[in-house]
Amino acid sequence: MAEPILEIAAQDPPAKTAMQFGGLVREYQSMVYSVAWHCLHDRAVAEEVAQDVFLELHRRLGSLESPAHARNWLRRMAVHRSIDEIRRRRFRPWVALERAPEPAVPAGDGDPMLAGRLRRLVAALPEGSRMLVILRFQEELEWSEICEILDLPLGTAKSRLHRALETLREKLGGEAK
Amino acid sequence: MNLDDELRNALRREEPPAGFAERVLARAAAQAREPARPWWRLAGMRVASVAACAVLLVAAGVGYRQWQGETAKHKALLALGIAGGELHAAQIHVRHMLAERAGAGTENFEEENR
Repeated sequence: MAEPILEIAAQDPPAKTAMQFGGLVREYQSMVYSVAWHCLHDRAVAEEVAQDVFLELHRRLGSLESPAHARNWLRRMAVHRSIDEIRRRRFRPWVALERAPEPAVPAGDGDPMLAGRLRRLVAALPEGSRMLVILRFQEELEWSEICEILDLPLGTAKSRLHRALETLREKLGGEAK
Repeated sequence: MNLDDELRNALRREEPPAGFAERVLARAAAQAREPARPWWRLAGMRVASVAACAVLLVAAGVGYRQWQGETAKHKALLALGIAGGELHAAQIHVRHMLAERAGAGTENFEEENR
């Protein structure tokens, strides 16, 4: 993927602080926000988490070595901040508007509600499995990258994803009945 | 239905709400304008909190030791009371036995005791 703003900033160190941060925000806002949104299933909280991730980046801007480093750092931070938020919310019961039950419609090909239902089901998975699914299917990362971000052995990650997909299949089937 | 494809479709990246980047940049600018706390203030707060914790720990320790001492004193007094009672009963029993053996009546023994 081309990263023109970052390339300019990387070639011209004095311009870094002035333009790099804005460039990084615009470049990666959808990545960071989507990780948080698919994990938390609450747009307001996802935005809050995404903003915090970028503010943390702003504090550490000087320590980033390359555009790729910035992207990986942002992705990792978004994942871990989202997991922290899930854990915090365990002690603070909440119901986001997005969690309000939708009318039950059988799942099937071309079902316009299938994507929404899948997002809800993914957001209901245990946090580790949820992040695996998001990193695999939203970010389309390689196994090695996923294992590094989540600090998991390859075998564990694969079996956990397999179980998560089984759970999703079962729940989709169950809802369709 | 191919679940992998459906998941890719459902979990595709989404743009954040409008104005997200501007809000982040505004917060970052505000963060940059905030004066940094002087190190000594931060260090002073840390020292004060550590000192407060230490005082609390010492006070708790002293209180605990005092409570332990009081409890031990009460137990010792109770034990002495019980032992004294038992000893007195044994003494009376022994004197009864001695008096019986000497052929003297209990009345004489009790008179002696008075």
